[in-house]
Amino acid sequence: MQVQSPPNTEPPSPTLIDQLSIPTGLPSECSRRAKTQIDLLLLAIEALDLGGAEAMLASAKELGLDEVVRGRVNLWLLRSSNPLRRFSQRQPMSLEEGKALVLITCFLARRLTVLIRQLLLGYQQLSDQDLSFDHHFRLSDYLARFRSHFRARMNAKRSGVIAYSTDEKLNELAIELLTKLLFCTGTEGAERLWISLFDGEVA
Amino acid sequence: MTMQRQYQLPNCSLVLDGLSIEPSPGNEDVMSLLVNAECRISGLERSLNGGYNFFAALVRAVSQYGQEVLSGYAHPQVIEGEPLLVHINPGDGPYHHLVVQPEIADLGESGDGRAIDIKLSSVQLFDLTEAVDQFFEDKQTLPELQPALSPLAKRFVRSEEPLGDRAVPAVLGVGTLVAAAMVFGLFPTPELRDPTAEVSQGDQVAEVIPATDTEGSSEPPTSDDAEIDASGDTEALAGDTEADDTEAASEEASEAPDETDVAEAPDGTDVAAIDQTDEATDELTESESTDSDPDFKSFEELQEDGETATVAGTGSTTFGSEPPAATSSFATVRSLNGGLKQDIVQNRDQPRFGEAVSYRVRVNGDGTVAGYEPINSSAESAIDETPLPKLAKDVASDEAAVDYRVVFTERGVVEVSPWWGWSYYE
Repeated sequence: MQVQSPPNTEPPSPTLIDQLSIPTGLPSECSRRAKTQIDLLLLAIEALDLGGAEAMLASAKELGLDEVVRGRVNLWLLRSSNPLRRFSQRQPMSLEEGKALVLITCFLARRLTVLIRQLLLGYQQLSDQDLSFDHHFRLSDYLARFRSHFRARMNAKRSGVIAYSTDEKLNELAIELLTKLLFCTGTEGAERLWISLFDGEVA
Repeated sequence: MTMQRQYQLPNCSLVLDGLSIEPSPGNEDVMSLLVNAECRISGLERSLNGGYNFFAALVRAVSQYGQEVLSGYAHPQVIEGEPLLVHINPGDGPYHHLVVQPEIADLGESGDGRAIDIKLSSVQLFDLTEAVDQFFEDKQTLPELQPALSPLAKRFVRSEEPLGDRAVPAVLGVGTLVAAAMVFGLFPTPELRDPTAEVSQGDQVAEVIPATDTEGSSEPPTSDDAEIDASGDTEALAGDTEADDTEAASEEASEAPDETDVAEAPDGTDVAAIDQTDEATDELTESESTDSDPDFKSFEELQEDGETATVAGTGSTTFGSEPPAATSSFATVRSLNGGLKQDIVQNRDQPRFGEAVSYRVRVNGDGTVAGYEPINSSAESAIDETPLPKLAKDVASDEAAVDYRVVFTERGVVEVSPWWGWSYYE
């Protein structure tokens, strides 16, 4: 389910990427945690929206970011810099590329606002009544798709992935990512997400 | 001029009442003084009311907690040194707790003096955060309040893991080391055995057997005159090298060549080896050889000093446990090493396969093989499969010789290396 962005969406402009501030003391490239976090959020978007991967490319163009994210292969390479990936590329992600992916994430999250809120409300009701996720069709669908995406693409031998070996742990992660995506939909969503990627990285 | 600002979201609304003081042209609409702030949250009977302090603390706490949700690291929700008036804690499942201290919020009549704990779901919390963000965006209202988003400094992240947890691996490591040390301390200290003594003992045993073989014939050396001669030379060589070492031995060296014709060398070697080992083995071997053959005893007596090499029935030689004079330079030892290997390879009929056998081979400075000794019984029985008997020459040597370990490996490869190791010659 896709909706129009809330009225406060920044209009796509060539300077969009510069609207994200670079705080002082930031490292010159995105950290491991940042690369992991961005890729997982995009994975959650794919689990929410079947056409998520195509939408990422389309939104890159729409946001005027095709200078930074140059097509499918480049996007794949950027996402594969996530160290948890099965075919991790061990390549650095520049701040510009990080920003572009953050903007794409928030753009797509905003389009999925209604669905995200529905799922989170559903999760809240289920946990209030102590029911399993199976009672909410759309939520269990999202969780199942997220689990299969995660297992198909992450390297099960990494300790960071072993921590999510059970369905319960993966469901927790999926809900956590859903909450994060909700916060990405806000007015300051992109700035908040971007800044949060560097928590603990500055002196 | 009074004014009201509202930030409405599905689950939460912020209503600010305030005034514009000292309006200057162009910013008449800026709310610069807050009279009352009201925060309404859906599902909550009463709204939260308060003045500027309440509102400033609320927006700061909400803004910081929003970052905590995104990164998972706890953010400080007050400026250091100030009291914690409003703060948000993570709760179970989809819930978070907004805690407001009573002195800051106007609770009306229902206030009972305790802190208010409001349970917020993720969606409610997001709406509250969004309302606060929209307020931050609005430059016309209390412009001095800024979101102040910044990454968390390292020290805040580090402090998340308590010192105790971080110390656990180190303590475990040291503890394991101590435990292992104590366990090993319980084992008895192993007795130190001199490996060279064992080697010479083994040599003697291997040698006694050929000696008794020769006993069968009336004249032991007749079995193979050529070989005896060769070993006689070796014997002389041994004498020489030892003479280099000690002046006292020089007399013995001069005697040695005289004895070369005689076949009784085996026992002589025995004695040489025995001299270098402990007395117990000395007695044992001596008694064996003397008992088995009185002739040999007499030979022994002839060789008073007994410091010579021996010829066994198979034509091999037995060396003492000491190296020949170590005067050879490293380069010489290396070239001899290569030369010996080449000689062996060129003189063998075909590569020898099967169980690996090793020999100790003594080579003169000019590269001629002056003697060899099988290391064990299998090496002894395989001696005819090697070119060593062919290579052993009847040479008199007056120069330093070098001992090599020659191994015929099971894959047919010949390996040659100095018996005493390369480092001995460096």
